[in-house]
Amino acid sequence: MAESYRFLTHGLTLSIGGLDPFDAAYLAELRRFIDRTRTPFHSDHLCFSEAGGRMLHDLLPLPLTRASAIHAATRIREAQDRLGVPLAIENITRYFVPGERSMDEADFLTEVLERSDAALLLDVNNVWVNATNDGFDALAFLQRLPLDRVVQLHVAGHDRSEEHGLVIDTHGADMIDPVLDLCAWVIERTGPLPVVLERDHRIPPLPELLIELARVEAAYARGLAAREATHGT
Amino acid sequence: MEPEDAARFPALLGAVASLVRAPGVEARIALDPRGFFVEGGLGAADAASLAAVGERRLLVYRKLIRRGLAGAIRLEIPRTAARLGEAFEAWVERFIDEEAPRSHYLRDVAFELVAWVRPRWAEDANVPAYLGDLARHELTGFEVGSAEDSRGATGIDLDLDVPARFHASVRLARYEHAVHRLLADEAARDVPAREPTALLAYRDAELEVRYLELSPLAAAILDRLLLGETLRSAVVGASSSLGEALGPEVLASTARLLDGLAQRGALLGGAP
Repeated sequence: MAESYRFLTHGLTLSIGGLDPFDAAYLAELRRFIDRTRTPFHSDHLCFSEAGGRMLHDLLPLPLTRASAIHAATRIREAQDRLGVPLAIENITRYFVPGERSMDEADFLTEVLERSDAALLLDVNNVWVNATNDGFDALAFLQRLPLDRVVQLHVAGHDRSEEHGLVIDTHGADMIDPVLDLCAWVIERTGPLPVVLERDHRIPPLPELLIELARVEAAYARGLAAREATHGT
Repeated sequence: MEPEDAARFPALLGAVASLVRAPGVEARIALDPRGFFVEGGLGAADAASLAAVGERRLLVYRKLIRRGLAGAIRLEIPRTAARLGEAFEAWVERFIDEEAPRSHYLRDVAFELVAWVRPRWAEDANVPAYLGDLARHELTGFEVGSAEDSRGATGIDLDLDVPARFHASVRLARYEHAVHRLLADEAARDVPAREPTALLAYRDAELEVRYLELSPLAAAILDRLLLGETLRSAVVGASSSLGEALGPEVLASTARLLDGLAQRGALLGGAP
């Protein structure tokens, strides 16, 4: 398959912002996989998942502090060296920020990317969910990101949880139009990029999933058309 | 780097991890969230900031992670979970509190839970004695079903002095109960016989997981072949360990066994 298709690999458990040393066996296995698939870059999340030798299997939020940004950037550089490919870092959905913030989220993400020289895997659904849960403007947030570093987009659906009083990033529902609007807005500014529709819960029958895909493609085309109208490229 | 930030960083990550893993967090957060964080080593400002997040948000990750892990485990051992009933969730909770996953792969969590829980089930009169075997049997099926594929036959005869090459999905499982004969329905509550059981599990050409019940001698021979011994060494060693005379009957039954495995695609031939 690697001879016929371009692969982009994506992970969940690198624990890029964590304090536990990288798991040598996991990194070695991941590197073998990356070599086999000849991926141009590997992506994982700006979060931590491992603590005290235990893997918690979720994307846990990092403090928004300079120390946290420096630590994450150092770890990204180390992971890039050990994996032998550049890393793209994905912005996460987070349901709270641990501790007092000494910087805001857009500055934090930008600082990590600049210090590590990593690429950005921009999940516009995550931006929308955070903006909705915390009451900020998703578009204003995107305007502050270094969009020249974006190498891939994620779009997905989410669910409102009465139990938690929050929107939860479930990847288990159809996308909403405002998320697709953010996708189009980014594509207008970046030009063509790979876009992944994430759906890993309550997966509908294929015809319904293809309708979802068509909605992504329509938003993508809208973004490119707007780009052409604005920039002529 | 701002030294003050650097000192706070480990405590803040520890606080988030405690919210997920520490036993009895719900009650402590409901009573005194600020105190919970201060006890965990946070400074006053960070503790106050986190306490201000509110109980529901603070417990989101705990609930999502525990439900997610329980769901992932149930997918791999559905019949075991069904037979445990409501106790299944309680055992998952205990596993997360006292042990927790170590592997980076979600698929491994059920294996980690079963390894941790079997000695505890063995001491718990409320858990059927066969349940650890059933859990292992379900995991064997999962492991065989999701194992990497193998290329076809090696084209090398399985000579007496060469090791064997098996399909990558082949596993040899031993249980104290005949759990493979239990009804497959999750609602079934039949009880297996307590009898030593050895099964060869493999995936066939139609990608179905198959089980072959083995005699003690067949299991001993295959055990050794799977460990890389030559056919001669495996047959001689297995016969000797079971006190069976190595005669024409043993050789003939071994040949039939290996021929059958080759026809099923479980044995690929001699190892190159």
